[in-house]
Amino acid sequence: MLLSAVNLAFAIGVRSQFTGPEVATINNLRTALASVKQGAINCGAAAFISKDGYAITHQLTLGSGAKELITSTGEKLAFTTIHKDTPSQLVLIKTVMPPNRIDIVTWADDSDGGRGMILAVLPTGTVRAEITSSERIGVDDKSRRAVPMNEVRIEQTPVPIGGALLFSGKGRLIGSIAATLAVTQGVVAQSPVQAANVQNAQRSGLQSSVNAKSANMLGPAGLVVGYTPTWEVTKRAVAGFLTPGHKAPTAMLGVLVVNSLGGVSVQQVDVDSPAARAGVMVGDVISNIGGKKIRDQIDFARMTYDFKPGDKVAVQIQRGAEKITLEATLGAQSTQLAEHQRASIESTLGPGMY
Amino acid sequence: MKNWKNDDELLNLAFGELSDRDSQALEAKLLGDSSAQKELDLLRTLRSDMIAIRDDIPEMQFSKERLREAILSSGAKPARQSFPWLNWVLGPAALASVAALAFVMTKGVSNREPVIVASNGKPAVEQVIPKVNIKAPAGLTEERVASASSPSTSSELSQPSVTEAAVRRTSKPAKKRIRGRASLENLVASRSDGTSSASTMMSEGVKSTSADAATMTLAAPAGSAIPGVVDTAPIILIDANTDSGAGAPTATEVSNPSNVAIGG
Repeated sequence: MLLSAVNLAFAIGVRSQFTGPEVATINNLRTALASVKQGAINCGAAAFISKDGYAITHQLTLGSGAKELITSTGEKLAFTTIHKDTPSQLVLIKTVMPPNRIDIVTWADDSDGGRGMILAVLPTGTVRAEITSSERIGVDDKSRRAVPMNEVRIEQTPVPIGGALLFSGKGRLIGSIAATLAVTQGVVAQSPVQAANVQNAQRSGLQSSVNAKSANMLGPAGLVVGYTPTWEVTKRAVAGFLTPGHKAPTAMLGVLVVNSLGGVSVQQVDVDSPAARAGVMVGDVISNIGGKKIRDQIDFARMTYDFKPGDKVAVQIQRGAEKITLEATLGAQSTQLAEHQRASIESTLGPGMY
Repeated sequence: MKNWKNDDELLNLAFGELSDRDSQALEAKLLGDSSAQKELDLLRTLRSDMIAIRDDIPEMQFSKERLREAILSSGAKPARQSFPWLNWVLGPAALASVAALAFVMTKGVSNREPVIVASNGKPAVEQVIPKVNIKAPAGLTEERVASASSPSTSSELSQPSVTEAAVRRTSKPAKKRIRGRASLENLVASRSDGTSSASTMMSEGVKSTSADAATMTLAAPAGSAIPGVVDTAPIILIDANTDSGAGAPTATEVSNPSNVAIGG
């Protein structure tokens, strides 16, 4: 009898795809989450960060022009967009009327563990995911901004996963799906049956997107590799959102660099940037900023999170045989400006460079 | 001795499918039976758990029949018969086996004699070590590579296993947990470790037997912008284009992070 009961519990677990603690976590999270709606379409999830109606969601969730939240109690609330944090890609929104009976999310910290099973909240519900690596550095192709990222494997679903909010097993906010690995690299795990279905779909002229493929698949679902900013990046963004200015600006020197012996080599100096005002030139090798040694472009990327806009820093450079120390006042990163300044990057960099 | 007729009776009680009179009668019968109470409690917990996840299970399927089907489909089996006396036999036997294995292993290692390398610089038993591409650290010139591959004239103890281990370590550096700011610190530290381990390995390679050193390729890999930089953190280049299916920008893993320009 006892064995049968255990088997039953297993069967239920398989049916609902969640373990008991996961079910408890999902239930606890419900009151802190809301659906972002555009008409009848559920675009994704938002998480309340304050009782007076401030909530965060991913910029992809708002891409279609959603303007309404529905809380777990069914309350419909219009909202306005306050601010977007570029590194985390999170957007701060605020409901026009304060919501009733909601909870607020808590953020993950070191105790939530670097890797392991997590929960991803999609427009249609929650699925399991897993952090498989916490050692990635994401670089935006346009602005060239670097963000520490986690690699996440997530079950294929018939709905888009972009912007899905991710929570640790304890139900604490980690981040959101900011990108997925290109399918051309063979990252979508497929069984032979799934592969055959995809081929049939392609032959019959159906759209061969990742999620369209899974619609008629048999057997276990494939996995999609996604990337999320680390919990530190998310926490920094949310902490900034909760300040009176609702912003978490990132420091900027205004240069484009690649690895070099002894530091990073400056490939481009942005016009009217802190670097330009300090006298940094193309070809200079930066080896130290504000007392922090710069050994490669990862160190350089870290610098942007170590300082705040307005900080005065000493920049040690090697120019030919000469060692020079310049003083720069760091500015705030601006996506539009960065994208504009990097527009000519392709022609600036040599062959084999990205 | 069981105070109830069968498991179904208990199931019906737990799931509220008995009349009040029958329920009271059965509960009275089970009062003194702790094992039955335990099972009953378990089933009731199960029932409440199922109600908690009712959203996932259609109401029409939420019944005893469903429960029965689940039990049958998951292959209900009788409880395994236990043999307590077997522990007394298997326990000492397992301990003896482990002790014997440990003795044989330690004895075997301590008795292993070093292989003497012939004076022509080749080991007595030819060892083939997989060819590994290793980025040359800064300052390592072709002359040094040449000296590393030149035959040694003195007799040396060959240590192929040590060299091989070093090669493996270098080709796949130990990963450290990386998180945000702290993670970037660790990342840089691990990168430094990787570089120094590469340097150490290189020097080990130079010191090791010429046959070992000769199999190594010391040139920086093609496409590497900066020789001497050991890359441990893959860089993900995030494209502006959005995958229509995944609903997120597509990302490409760059095989050589040194070649990625970063702005800031």
